[in-house]
Amino acid sequence: MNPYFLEYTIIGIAGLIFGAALERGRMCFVLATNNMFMARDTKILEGILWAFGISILAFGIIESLGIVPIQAAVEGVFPSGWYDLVGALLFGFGIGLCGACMSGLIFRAGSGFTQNWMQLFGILVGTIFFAFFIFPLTNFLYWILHTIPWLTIKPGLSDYIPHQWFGDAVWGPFVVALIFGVFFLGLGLYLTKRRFAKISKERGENYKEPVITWDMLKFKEAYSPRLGGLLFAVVAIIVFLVSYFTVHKAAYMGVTTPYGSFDAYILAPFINLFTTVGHYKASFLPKVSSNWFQIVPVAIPMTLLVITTFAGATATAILGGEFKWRVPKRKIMFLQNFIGGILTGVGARIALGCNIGTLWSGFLMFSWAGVLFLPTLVLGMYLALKFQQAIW
Amino acid sequence: MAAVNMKKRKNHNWCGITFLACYGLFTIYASFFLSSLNKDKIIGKLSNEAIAGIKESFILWGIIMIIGAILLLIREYVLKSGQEEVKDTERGVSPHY
Repeated sequence: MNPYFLEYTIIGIAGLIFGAALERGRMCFVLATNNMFMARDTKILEGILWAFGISILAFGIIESLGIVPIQAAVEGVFPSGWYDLVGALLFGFGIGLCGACMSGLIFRAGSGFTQNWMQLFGILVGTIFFAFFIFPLTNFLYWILHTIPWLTIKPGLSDYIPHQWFGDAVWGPFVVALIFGVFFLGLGLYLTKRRFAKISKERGENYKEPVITWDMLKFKEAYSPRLGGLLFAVVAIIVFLVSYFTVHKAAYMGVTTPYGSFDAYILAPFINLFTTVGHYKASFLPKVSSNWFQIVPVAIPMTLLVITTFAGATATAILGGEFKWRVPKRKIMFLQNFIGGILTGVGARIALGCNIGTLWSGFLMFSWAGVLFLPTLVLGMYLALKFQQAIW
Repeated sequence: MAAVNMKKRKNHNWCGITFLACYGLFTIYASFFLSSLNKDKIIGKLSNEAIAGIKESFILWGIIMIIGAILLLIREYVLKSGQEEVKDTERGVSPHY
């Protein structure tokens, strides 16, 4: 059997699970942040922390046991640097304006939220803008690959934290996973316990939340944060293992690069973005690069994963009786989401990924990308929240 | 109680089913352009084996999504079980609604 067929087919199933986990677990970084800042509700944040904790620990074990050799895992490790900070700030502000991160966008658009379709359109436009203007005019690739001391780290082994800390020790990934994983899991557990205690106090009885019930499995009830988090982690593990054992190239989760493929497919009858060379001459830069589309493959497994994730989210919304065509009361929100979408698209491209591809996968790669992306992402979302509170 | 809820909120499942079918059609549509888009690529060019496998998988998933949409259509309009579930989960899902 063609290994690529096998890889894409199984990853398609992972996409359906991912869509269900997103839609039923309401896994959205913006929603988690807004609920935390505005309502002091940490339920969704707990799910995200559980997802991070479980998946990081699992990746550490997989690499330390040699199920996926460290050499293979390292091939997919991104470079890290200043662009994570800059891109995450822009990305965070963009998703804050739209009220949905890249995972939230998929489940909301798939559940009938019209403004998130506008956000998606903005991201497609933003990606093209980055690809044909920002990327060649700033000679972006040069600044990513050229190592600037204290500002950038090269991809691969140079940006692999276990190698930096413990050299070639096989237990290195496990120890690093233990440090990051226990931090996220511990924080998730603490917030869960605190929420339970708060509800127990309000109700005057001992409150407990089941991890899984029949109604959750039948899509009648929203998933508990722990179930949502567990499914999130399972999807990342499936993608990682399947890609390695089929085409021998370990893949990490990512959502925004596939939108570049969508741009190319949509415009394919009119123009081939992959071969449209943008040789923009910029004399102040060391060399001239062509458009961004030329450095990404025509299809990556995540392209199919994103489509089946949309399908999974829509199907579970219908099965749960929650699908609704929702139009915002204020039509100006469409414009806000379009602008936010452009910022989201450009920010994600500058940071080489989004809250899934750079933040979550950054931690799963044990690179510095996730660590750098997180603080400015939160800052960007916070600024967007304050901005909206000021103007609306 | 269900009847009261149904009055409050219209069932838009037909729209979701259309979405699902559209995802399937888009996947099949995209599969037709894989070879031509890959043909003249300068960096990141995929092998012919990869393109063939990816194309077959795209078509398979496109068909699965369309079949899924047909099954949901039967559930909705033949079995009518979808119409019993009418819930509104807008609160807490988005700050903009």
